Amino acid sequence: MTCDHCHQRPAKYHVTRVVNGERFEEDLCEECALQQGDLALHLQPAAAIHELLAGLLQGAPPVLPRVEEQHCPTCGLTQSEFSRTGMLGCEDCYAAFAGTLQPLVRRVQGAGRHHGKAPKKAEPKPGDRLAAMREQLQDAIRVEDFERAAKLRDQIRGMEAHA
Amino acid sequence: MPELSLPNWITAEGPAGDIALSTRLRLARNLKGEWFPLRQDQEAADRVIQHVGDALPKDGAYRVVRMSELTAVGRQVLVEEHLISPLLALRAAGAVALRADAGISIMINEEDHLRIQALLSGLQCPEAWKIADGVDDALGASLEYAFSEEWGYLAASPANVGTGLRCSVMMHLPGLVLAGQAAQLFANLAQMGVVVRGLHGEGSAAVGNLFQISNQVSLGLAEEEIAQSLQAIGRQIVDRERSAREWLYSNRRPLIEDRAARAYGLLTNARLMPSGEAAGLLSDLRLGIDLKVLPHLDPALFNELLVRTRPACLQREPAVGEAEATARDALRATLIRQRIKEAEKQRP
Repeated sequence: MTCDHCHQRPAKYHVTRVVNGERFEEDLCEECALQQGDLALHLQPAAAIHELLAGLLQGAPPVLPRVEEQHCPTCGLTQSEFSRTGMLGCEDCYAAFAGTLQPLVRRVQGAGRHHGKAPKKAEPKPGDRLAAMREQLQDAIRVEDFERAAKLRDQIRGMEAHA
Repeated sequence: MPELSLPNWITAEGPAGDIALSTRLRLARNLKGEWFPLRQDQEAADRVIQHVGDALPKDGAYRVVRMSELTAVGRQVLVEEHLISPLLALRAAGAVALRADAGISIMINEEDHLRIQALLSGLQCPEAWKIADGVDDALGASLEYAFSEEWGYLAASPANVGTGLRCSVMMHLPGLVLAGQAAQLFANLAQMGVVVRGLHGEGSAAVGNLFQISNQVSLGLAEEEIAQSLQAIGRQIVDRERSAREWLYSNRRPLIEDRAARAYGLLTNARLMPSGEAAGLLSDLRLGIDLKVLPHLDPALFNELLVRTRPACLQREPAVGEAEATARDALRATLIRQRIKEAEKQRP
């Protein structure tokens, strides 16, 4: 489904709006939802209080905008639950919230990639390790760390020769 | 309640044990295919306890105790002995596998499925890592951990992802506090990614000049690097504390002697001793022992009393139930008087 506003990006949020008792519904991408202030409204419940009061005064039941939230497909943890507690629900949350987690972890931990031990049972296959090292080589080139890049290049060559 | 002897860190025999009382290192691990503990139901919690129990060596070295089998006091005793965390004590679905003699405690269903802890006397970060690493390898041979190449070991909190490693050293720093250098030092440590907390971990203030110093970062560094860098920082704090004590001893000697003598006087005579006051006085006493103002006492006595006089441990003493506050203060005072008297008899 594409966004009802820009007709280009995929829709991510379903927004229901009630204006003067009339109901409008649209599917929006994140950018357009942000632009229209629908997400900000959702994040600031205080701003909706006057709408609630207005709705009561008009005698019509208020319908708050419903924004469909990002959630983990495995354990069902929602983005707002995660934001509230700072705790993830299961291992798949790391993939489900990757977009939020990467900057957060970088801020708290400084680094972006694991460099410690790996469980014996999850010992990477040589192919996986080569792919990971090629990725690291690209990273090193991007940040112009040529010393590290050269070292990685030699290691990759060595591993390919043995393969 | 299972009978457990005082853990090995009490002995005060570890390296730099006059200042670094104990080193604790823990590894956070989660099982593949199970939701993290704070989101699991009782059935899943039981499954995890079962799996971990099955993965433990069969020689009976570990005893597995469920939190639901313990009284509130029993759980608190384990917290005060640093064998479990305050959070685990609150988790009915939690359990702990203990090898107190070897300083190993494996918390089950705390924030993560497993928290493998090694607890040693003195400043011994790399040694604690070796022990925890060995336990982790042994368990990992049959348990499948949640792990990704990019993130490392997947923890319930992103603050623990990667190695899942947190190493903390409990330090007695009366010299730096009295010399007014502690605040500046802690601020500098914070900039180096080192966290400083009060004795009993998160959310509690320092009791008796005792501080817990630990690494903040768990991702992007190898385990040995984390352990070694904390060891080096711990070493520096020990040196600074020693120079602060030397300075105090040469420049403020009457103050130090007076504090130690007053602490000795109160601890050997008081009839009611509240726990906060006891911690402060024991700290002064220990400083006096270390600076040879009170040369006839054994430093291990301080560690022992520090643990035995905490509220819950005290209630484990013979002939005491869930003692009332005043009765507890009386009991604490008596226990301290007796132990000091006994120790003086042993070391004339």
